[in-house]
Amino acid sequence: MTEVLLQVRAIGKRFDVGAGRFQARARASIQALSDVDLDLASGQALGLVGESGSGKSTLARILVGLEQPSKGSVRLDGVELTTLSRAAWRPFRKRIQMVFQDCAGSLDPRQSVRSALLEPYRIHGLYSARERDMRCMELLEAVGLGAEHWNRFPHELSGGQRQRVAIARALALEPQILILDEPVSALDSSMRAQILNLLIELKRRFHLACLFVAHDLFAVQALCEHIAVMYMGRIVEVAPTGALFANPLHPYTQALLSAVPFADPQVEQQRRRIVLQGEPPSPMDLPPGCAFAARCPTKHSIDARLCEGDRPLLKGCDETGLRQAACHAVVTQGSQS
Amino acid sequence: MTGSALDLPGGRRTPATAARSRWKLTEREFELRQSAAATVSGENPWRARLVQLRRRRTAWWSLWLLGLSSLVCLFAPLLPLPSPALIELRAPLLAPIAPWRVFGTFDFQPEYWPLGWLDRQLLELRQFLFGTWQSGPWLGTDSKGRDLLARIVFGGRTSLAVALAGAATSLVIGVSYGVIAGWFGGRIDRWMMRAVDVLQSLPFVFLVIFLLTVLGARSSSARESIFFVVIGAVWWLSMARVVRGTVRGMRSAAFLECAQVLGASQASSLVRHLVPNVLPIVIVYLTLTIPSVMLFESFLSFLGLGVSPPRVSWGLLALEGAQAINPLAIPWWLVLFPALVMGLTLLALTMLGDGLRDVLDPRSQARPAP
Amino acid sequence: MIRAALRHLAGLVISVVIVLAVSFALMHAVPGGPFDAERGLHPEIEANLARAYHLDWPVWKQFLQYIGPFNLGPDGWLGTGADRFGGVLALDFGPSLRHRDYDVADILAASLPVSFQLGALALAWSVPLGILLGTLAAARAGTWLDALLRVLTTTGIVLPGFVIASLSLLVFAFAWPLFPVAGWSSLRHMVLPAFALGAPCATYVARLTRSGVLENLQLDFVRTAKGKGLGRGAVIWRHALRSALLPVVAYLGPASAAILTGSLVVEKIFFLPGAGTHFVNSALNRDYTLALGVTLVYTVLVFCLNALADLLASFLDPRVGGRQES
Ligand SMILES: Nc1ncnc2c1ncn2[C@@H]1O[C@H](COP(=O)(O)OP(=O)(O)O)[C@@H](O)[C@H]1O
Ligand SMILES: [Mg+2]
Repeated sequence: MTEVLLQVRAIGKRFDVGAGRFQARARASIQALSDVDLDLASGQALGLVGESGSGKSTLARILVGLEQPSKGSVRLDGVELTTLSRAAWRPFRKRIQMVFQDCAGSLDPRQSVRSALLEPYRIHGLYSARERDMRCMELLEAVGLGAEHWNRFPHELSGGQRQRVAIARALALEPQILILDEPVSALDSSMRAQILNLLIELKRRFHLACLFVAHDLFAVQALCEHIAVMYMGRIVEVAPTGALFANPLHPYTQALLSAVPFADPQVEQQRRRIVLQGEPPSPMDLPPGCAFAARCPTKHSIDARLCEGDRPLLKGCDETGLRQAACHAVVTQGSQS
Repeated sequence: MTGSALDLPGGRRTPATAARSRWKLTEREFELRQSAAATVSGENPWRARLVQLRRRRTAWWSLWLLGLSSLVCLFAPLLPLPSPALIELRAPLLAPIAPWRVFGTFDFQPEYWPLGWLDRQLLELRQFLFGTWQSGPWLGTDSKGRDLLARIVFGGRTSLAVALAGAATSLVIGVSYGVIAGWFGGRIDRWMMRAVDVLQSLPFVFLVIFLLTVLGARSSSARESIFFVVIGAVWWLSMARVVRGTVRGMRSAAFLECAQVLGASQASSLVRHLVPNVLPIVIVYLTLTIPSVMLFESFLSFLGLGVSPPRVSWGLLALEGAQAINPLAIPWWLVLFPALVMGLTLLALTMLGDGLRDVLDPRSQARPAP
Repeated sequence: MIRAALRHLAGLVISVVIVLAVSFALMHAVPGGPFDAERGLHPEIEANLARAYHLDWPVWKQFLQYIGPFNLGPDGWLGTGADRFGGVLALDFGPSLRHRDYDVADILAASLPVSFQLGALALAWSVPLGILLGTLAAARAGTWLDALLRVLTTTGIVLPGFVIASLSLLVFAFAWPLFPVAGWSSLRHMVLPAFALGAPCATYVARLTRSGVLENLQLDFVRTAKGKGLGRGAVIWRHALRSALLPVVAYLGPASAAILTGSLVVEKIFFLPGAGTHFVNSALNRDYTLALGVTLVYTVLVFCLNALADLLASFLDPRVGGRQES
C-alpha cells in the first residue's frame, strides 16, 4: 500500500451569494461541497469526475489554498493547510502545484515563455541565473516544447502549447502533488490526446501524485489508478479505474458510463444507454435526501421515500474497502448478492 | 546536485530524485539550445502595438506633430523669436508678413516675465547663438505690438505645463486610487467609488471659479497654484474609475491565481502582473485627459481667471483676439491663428487618443472600426 | 424608479452640504476673505454684511443662520423686520459685496432669465439638428456626405466654445454684419450666442446618434425589419433611430451642464447681462456672496437636469424594468 500524502477530510464549502445591494440582505447560499473525503497517495493519480457545477474546481482550489473551505481539513503529511496564511503557504508551494483549465488566461499576456518559467524560481529565490535558465530549458524539453518557444509570448502559442507551458511552470518547483483542473477540456481532441500522453509520461517520470479533474470519464481513464465520481458537491462513488468501468455501482456513475462511446461497435450496439430524466436540483436548496434521487432511474427498485428523505453516506461495498459508493440501492444489492 | 528545491518541509525526498536526474541537460546541450533560442525572437506585445499604431496614419502623424510641437514649446527661449512680452506701441496690429518678405530683424530685446533658472540659461544660449536677430512678424502683432508667433509658442508652454500637471495627478492619484479600490474590493471599493460619484457630480467649473473668487486674491502665483491643485483634485476621477474597473475585471484573472499558487505575495503580483496589464488603459486615458485639462486652462484664462499677463496662454490669446476686433479694425489673425493652433493641437490629441484606444484597449478591439 | 430618484436627491443634498460647509469655512478661514477686516468695502455694505451674517454671534449660530431660515436672534424663529435673514436655503444669499443697494437675490432674479433663455435656445436648436445630422450621416455612411459631416462634427468637438464664439463673431458680425455684436433685446441678438453655445452640443449629439444608429442597424430586429422588405429609410426612422436616441437622452444631462458652463464665455463675448457674466465679474472683483449664489443655483440646476435626463433615459429604456445598479 502506498503512503497517503494528502488527506482531505469532511470538506464543506458554502458560497454566500448576496442578492442585490439594496435588497434586505436576503442571503442565498450555494452548497458547493459537502463532506468530501479524499486520499491522495504518492505517485498515484486520482480522477475526479462529475458534471459541470458539481464542485470539482472548488475542491481543487481549496487544495491549493485559493479558497477557504467552510469546514473540514486538508492535511499534507499531517500539516493542516486550510488555516495557513498566504505567506505560510509558501514553503508548501514547492510540494503542491496546480494547472488551471483556462490555459489562455493562466499565462500573463505580457510575459514571454522564458520569464513565465523563471517566475517560480524568482519567487522562491532558487538557483543562480544560469541554472534557472538551464532548468527552464529542461522543463521546456520535458513538456515537449523546444528552444524555438523560449522567447515567445502567449499570443504566439497554440492552446496546446500554452497548456504545455502551464504544466512546465507547475513542475518547475518539482512538486510531489499536481492538481490538474480540467487540463484538457479547452483543447481540441487531437491536442487532448497529446497532452494526456504527456501527463502520463510526466507522472511516471516525476513520480507525481495527481488529482485529475475532468468532466468525462474517458479523459481520466488512461492516467488514473482511482476514480472518484462527484455529484452536486458530494462524492458518490470511489473505485479503482478498472473496477469502476467494469461494474459501476452508483446509478449516476452508470449513467455517466453509458454515455461514453465504446470503440468496439458490437459492444457499442448492444449496451444499454441510460438517459437521465429531469434536471439536477438547484445548489441553492439541496433536497434532504439523495441529491440524485429526482433523476435516479433505480430509485423505484427500492423504497423511493428512503432516497428522498435520507441522505446515503459513502460506504465501503467490497472486502478491500477500495470501492465505496453513496447509494441506498447499492447497499441493498450488495447484501442480496 | 539536486538543488534546494528539495528542501521540503519535513525533509522528505521522493523516489523521483533518481528519475529526474536522467533528463537533466548537460552544459553543452544547454548552450546549444540557448543559442538556438536566441535566433527566435518573440513578438513583444508592446512592440506589436507600436507597429499597429504606426499603421494608423493619423494617430502616428499626430504623435509626431505633438512631439515636435512639445519640443518647440519646451525650448522656446532658445528659438530666435521676438520677446513675447515686449510691448512695442509703435507697431500695433501689424498684419502677418510672409517670411519671404521680412525674414527677420536685428531688434531683439529680452523682455520676459521672471524666468526660471533653466529658461535663463536657454535665453543666454539664444543670445549667444543668434545675437539680436529675431524672426519677423510672420503671424502679425497684437494691439500692443507683441509678436503673435512668439506668444503662441510661449502660450504653448503653459498648455504643456498644464498637460503635464494633469497627467501627473491623474497618474499618481487616479491610478493608485483605482488600483486600491479595485484590488481590495468589497466595502472599501464601494465607499471609495461612492466618493468618486459624489465628486464627479459636482459642477466643477463653478466650484473652481468660486474657489478662485475666495482664494485667488492678490498674487497671480497663488491663483496658479490653486489652479494646479484644482487640476489635481478633478482630473483623477475618471482615471480612477477606469483603472478600478480594469483591476476589478483582472482581480480574478487566472494568471494572478497562478502567481498565487506559485507562491507570489500580493505585493509582487500587483507589481509584476497587474500594473503592466493596467498600463495600456492608463496610457489611453492619459491621452484623453490631457486635452480636457488644456481646454479647461484656456477656458479659465479666457475668462481672465487663469494665467495672468504678462504671461501668456492660448486662452488669453483667444481673449485678446476677441477683444481686439471692433467695427473699425478687424485683426482677423489675432482670432484665427490661436484658434487654428488650439484646434490642431486638440485634434491631434484626440486622434492620438482614438488610435491608442484602438490599439491598447482590449475592449474596443471587439468592435469593428467604423 | 423612485429609488433612483431618491438616490439622486441624496447626491444633491450631499453636494449642497459640501458646498455650503466649504464655503462657510472658507469665508471665515481665508485671510483677505469676505469677513476679513481690511478688505476696503463701502461702509454701507459693511454694515449690511454685519447685519445679515450676525458677525457678533458664535460661529455655530452663524452657520445655522447662514444655511437656513433659522433666525436665532432675539426675535425668535423667523425673525422680523430688518433683522430678518432667510439663509441660503431660502434663496437669500445676502447683500452683494460690490453692488451697493443690491441683494444677490435681486441680481440673480434679473440675470438668470437671460441665461436660461440662452441655454434653452441653444439646446432647442442643437439637439434636433444633431439628431438629424447624425441620422443622415448613418443613413449615408461611407459617402461624401458622411465624410463632410464627420469633418464638421470633429471640428465642433475639437474647437473650444469660446473659439467658435469669437470666430462666429468675427465672421457674422464684423466681416459680414448679419447680426448685432452685442445685447439681448431681440431675436436677432440671440442668434449668434445661441449658435455659438449650441454648436459643440450639436456635434456631440450628431456623433452619438450616428454611432447609435449604425450599431442598431446591425441588430437582429432591425435586420428582420429589413428582411421583411421595409425600405432603408423606413427601417432607420422606425426602428434604428428609436433606440439609438437613448444615449442622446442620457447625454442631455451632461449637455445642459456643458451649456451652462459654456454660457460663461458666450455671455462674456457677447456682453449679455446674464448670470454667467455676473459670475465671472464677481470672481474677478471678489464679490464673494454673488459668486456663492450663482454657484449654488447652478449646482442644484446641474444636479436636477442630470437626474431628469437619467430618469428619462431609464424610463425610455425598454430593457430596464428594474435595471440593477451595477
Ligand atoms: N466564487 C463563487 N461564488 C459563488 N458560487 C460559486 C463560486 N465558485 C463556484 N461557485 C458555485 O459552486 C458550484 C461548483 O462550482 P465549480 O466548483 O466551479 O464546479 P465544476 O468545476 O465542477 O464545474 C457551482 O454551482 C458554482 O456556481
Ligand atoms: Mg470547473
